Amino acid sequence: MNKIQHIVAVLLFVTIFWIFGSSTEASDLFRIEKNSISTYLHGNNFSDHSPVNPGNIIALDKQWADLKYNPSFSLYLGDSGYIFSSIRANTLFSDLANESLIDLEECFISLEPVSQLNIDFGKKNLLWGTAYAWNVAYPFQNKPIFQTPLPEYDLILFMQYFENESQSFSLLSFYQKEDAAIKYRFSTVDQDTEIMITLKDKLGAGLALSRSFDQFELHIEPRIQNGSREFYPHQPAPSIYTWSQTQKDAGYFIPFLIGGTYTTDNYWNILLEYFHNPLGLSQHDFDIFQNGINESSTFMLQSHLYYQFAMFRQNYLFFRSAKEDIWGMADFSVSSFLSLDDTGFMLIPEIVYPISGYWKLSCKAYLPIGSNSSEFKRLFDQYVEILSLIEF
Amino acid sequence: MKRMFVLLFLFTYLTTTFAAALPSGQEILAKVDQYRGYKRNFKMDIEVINMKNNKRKNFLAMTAYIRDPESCYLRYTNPPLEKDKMLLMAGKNTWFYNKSIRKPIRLSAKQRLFGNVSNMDVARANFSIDYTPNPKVQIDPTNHYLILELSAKSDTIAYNRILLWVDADNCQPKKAEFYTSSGKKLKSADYLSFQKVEDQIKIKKVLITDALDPNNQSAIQYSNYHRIKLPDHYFNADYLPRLK
Repeated sequence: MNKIQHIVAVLLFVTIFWIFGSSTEASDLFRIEKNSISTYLHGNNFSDHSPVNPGNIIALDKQWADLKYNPSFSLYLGDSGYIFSSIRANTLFSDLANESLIDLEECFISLEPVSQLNIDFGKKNLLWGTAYAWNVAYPFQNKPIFQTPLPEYDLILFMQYFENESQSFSLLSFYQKEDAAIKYRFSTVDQDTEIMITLKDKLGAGLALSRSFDQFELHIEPRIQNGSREFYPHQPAPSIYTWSQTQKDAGYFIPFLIGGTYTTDNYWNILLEYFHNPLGLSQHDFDIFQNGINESSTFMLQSHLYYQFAMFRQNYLFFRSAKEDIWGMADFSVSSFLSLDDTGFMLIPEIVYPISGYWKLSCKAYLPIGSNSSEFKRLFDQYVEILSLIEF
Repeated sequence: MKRMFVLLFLFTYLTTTFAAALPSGQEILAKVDQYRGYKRNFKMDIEVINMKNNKRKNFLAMTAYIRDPESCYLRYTNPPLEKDKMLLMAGKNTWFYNKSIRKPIRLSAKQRLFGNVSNMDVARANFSIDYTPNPKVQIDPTNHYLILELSAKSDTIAYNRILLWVDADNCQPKKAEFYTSSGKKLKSADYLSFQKVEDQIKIKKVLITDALDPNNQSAIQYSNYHRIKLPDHYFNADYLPRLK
C-alpha cells in the first residue's frame, strides 16, 4: 500500500470505532472506553553509520511518523464480572515502507465469584512494586518506563483477595511457562509493604516498601534470587564472540532500588531513584560486548535477540522533575537516566500543552548524551516526538 | 446618670447572654461539618473550575466516594483526557492511580490536585478530623458571624491554620482563610451557596482565591449527594485498578 492508502485505511478504521463507540456508550452491558488517537511525528538522527550498525549491515529504517489508536472495550456480566479487551493499532510511516499493525494489547475475563475475591484470566498487563522507573521486585516486567511496557508473557491467571482496606493477597500464574508469583500487600499508617515470592528463573523473593512523610515519599525495592538465566557476552578466542547463559547460573543476587519523591511548596515534584543490578554487565562484559558488535555481525544480530538494550549495566540513577500548569499554560517535565558505570545519560525533556479537554499537544525529546563508548550514546536513538492526542 | 446605668445594664445583659449562648468551638465545628456531607457512606459529584481574571481556564470533574471522614476515593470523570485517573485517601495515606502507570503510587500529603485546590479540599468531608478549634470563639463586629481559629493536628495536614467564619444563627460556613506554619496566607474560600439534600442543607458552591494572585480563582461545585454502601476493600490501594 502507498502512503495515501495507508492513511485512508487508518482513517476508516478510526471512523468505524468512533461511530460504533458513540452508539454503544449508553449501554450498561457493553461499553467502549478511552478511545484515543495519538499522532507522533518523529524527527530522528538515526544515522547510516550508527555504531550499533557498523558498515550499515542492517538496512535501518528512518521512521518519520506514527499514528496510534488504542480503543478498549468492556462487556459487563451483571455484577459477577466483565470481559475487557484493548487493541493497539499503529500505522508507521518510514523511508523504506509503510506498515499497519494491529495488536491485541489486553483481553481477559474478570470474575468476582464472591465479594473481595477477583479472578482474571487472559492476556493482561500487570505491574507490582512501588518504584517508578524500574520494577525490581517484580521480575516479569523489567523494561524501563520509557520503553513500551509489554509483558513478557501472554496468558495469565491472576487471583486477588482483599481482606480489608489494608491487606490483600495475590496469586499470579503464567499459563505458557512455569513461572508464578504470590504477593502479600499491607498498609500501615504511613507505609505500604509488598512481599513477593517469584518462581521466575529460580526461586526468588522481592520486597517493596513505600513510606510517606510530610512532603517526602521514600521507596525501597530489593529482590533476592538464586542464579540467573541472563545471557552474557563471551570471547572464547580472538575475533570469536558468543552469548552464554552459564556465567552467573549459581549464587545469590540482590538487585535493589532506593528512591524518593519530594514536593516543594511551589508544587514541583522531584523524583530520584538509584538502581543497582548485579545481574547486569560488568565493565569487562561490556567491553567484550562492544568489541563483539564492532567485529561480528552474527554476534550483533544475536545481541538483538538476547538483549533489548534495556539498560543492562549495573548502576543507574533516574531523575525526574515535573510541574503542572507552569506559567498557567503547560505541563513541563524533565527526566534523565544516568549510567553510573560510564557516566553517559539519556535526557528526556517534555512539554505538554492542553488545547482543550479533548486535545493536547506535546513535544518530547530523547537525547542520549555521553562518550561514543557509553551505553546510551551507543545504543539509543536520538529523536524528537511531536504528539497530538485526541480523545472523544 | 440613671440613663447611663440603664445602658450599662442593657449592655452587660446582652453581652453576657450572647456569650453564655455561644457554643464551644468543637460544637460549632461539628455543625459546620454537617454542611460538608453525610457522616458515612455517600458519594457526590464535584466540579472544579479554574479561572484567571474571572475567565474560565479549565475544569476537572470527579465523583467522590466517601466511606467516612477519613476514607475517600475520587474518580476523575471529565474532561476525557483526565478520565481513568483515581485518587484514594485513607487516613494520612494518599495514592494516585492512572491506567498508564498500572500501579498505585503513594503521594505526599501536600501534593496538589488541580489549580488552587488541594486533595484535602475536595476529599476531606470533615474539618474536625484534621483540625482542633481554639476554645475561644470570637464574634464578628457585626455580630452575624462567629470566627473559629483551627489548628492542624499534625504536620501532614495541608494547611497549618485556618480562620473560619460561620453564621451565628445556624453555623453555616461563610468564609475561610488558610495559612502556612510561617503565618503566610495561602488562599481564602467563600462559601457561596447551599442546597437542600433530602432534609438537610449541604454546600453547593465554594470559591477559592489564591492569596498571592487574587486573579487566580477556583470554583468548586458539589452536586448529586447520594447515600451508598462502600465496602472496606474498595479503600485498599491494590483495589484501585478494579474500581468501576
